[in-house]
Amino acid sequence: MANKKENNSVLAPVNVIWEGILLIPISGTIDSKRAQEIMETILKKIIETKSKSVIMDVLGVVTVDSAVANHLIKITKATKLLGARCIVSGIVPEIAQIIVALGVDLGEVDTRADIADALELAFEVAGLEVVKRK
Amino acid sequence: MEEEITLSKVGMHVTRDCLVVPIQVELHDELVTQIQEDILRRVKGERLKGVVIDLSGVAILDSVLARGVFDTAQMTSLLGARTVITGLSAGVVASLIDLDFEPGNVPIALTLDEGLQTLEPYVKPKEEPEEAEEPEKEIDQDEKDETDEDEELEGYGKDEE
Amino acid sequence: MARMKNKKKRLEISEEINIVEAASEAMIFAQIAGFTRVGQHMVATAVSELARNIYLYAMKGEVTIRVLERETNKGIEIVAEDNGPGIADIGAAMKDHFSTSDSLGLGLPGVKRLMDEFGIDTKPGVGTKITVRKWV
Repeated sequence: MANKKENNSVLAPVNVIWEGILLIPISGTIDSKRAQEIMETILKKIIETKSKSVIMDVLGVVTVDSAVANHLIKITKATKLLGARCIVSGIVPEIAQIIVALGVDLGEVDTRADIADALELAFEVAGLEVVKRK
Repeated sequence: MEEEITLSKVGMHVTRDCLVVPIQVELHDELVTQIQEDILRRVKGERLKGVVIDLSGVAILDSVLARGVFDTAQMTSLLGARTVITGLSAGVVASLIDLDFEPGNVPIALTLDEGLQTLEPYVKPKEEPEEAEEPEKEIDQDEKDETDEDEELEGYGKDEE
Repeated sequence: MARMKNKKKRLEISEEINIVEAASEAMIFAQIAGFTRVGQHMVATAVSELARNIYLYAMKGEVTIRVLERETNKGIEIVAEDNGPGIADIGAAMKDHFSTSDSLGLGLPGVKRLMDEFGIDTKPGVGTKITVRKWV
């Protein structure tokens, strides 16, 4: 039982990549139970770190189907209830095609192709700007 | 500030021009209604522009109770005030999500302090207008950013142009 | 504190205040069973919704909370029963409502999502018995 939980956290570790910005790279498969655990972890971490942006990277997720999309929507809604914003990154063209073809409305969820783009949005949300040293 | 005797017996006080409502007891339907009435009465009576309802002391919040609290926020906005809800726990959030709870446009913050910060622009009396006294009407847009001293100098300079 | 020997408690629901009392008890039991704080709250919320239904529609009923144990883990079982009007159309009751501000809803789809197992036994004019379980 303890092992199972450990594995899950290893597969979806929560990183504070900047003050107020969390990054969760998710890999493997996402079923209801796992989605629930991921959501719980994210919520606790948001409260603990007072984060305003959460980047969920799904590049390593094996199948992104309508069920998974719904899990992501649910997690996004949950983060909103804590005053934070969720950005899903790692959406590759094939996944984008599947999601639209399945008729899933990701309306409220911000998505980006890769983590760098998601980070840019997160910085924007935080009112931060990267400036080169003189 | 003296605390009014409220229907709900939930202590509310005004801090930084906001009505702070820290709920430290378990909520039930009737209590939510009483708290609602207390808040609305104080907002109207004291012409308050901001309210923070902090739920960090509430252990259990189901959809009906949450609806009551969030509806209170909507009601205050009809009175011209803005309400921020703070202190939702991970458990409350996870539960409300499963119950398909819709928060609407009510602003949410993590802590009471953050809530007060969010409200600052709405409750602070307006700053002194920047266009204090314009000595000359010909001063163009650029010069508005400069200090009064500069304006005077520019004014002198303008004669030469 | 709850009777830990039996790990079971029956509560009567007949007044509004009983709703939050039942939810609080459930939270304590859930903690004993080993649920995380989040899990405890989900159990408490499910009980709150079920108890409220009893209070609003049947006016009187019972909620029984029980800690479950199986080989691999523990869990919790809640049985909410009443001799109220019963539910005529379960299909409709289990459908998510179009608007969540629809106060006519019983919130059953939500309760089902909060828990792992959901069972309903109802007969119009006789009563309703809802059994839900959640595992740690």
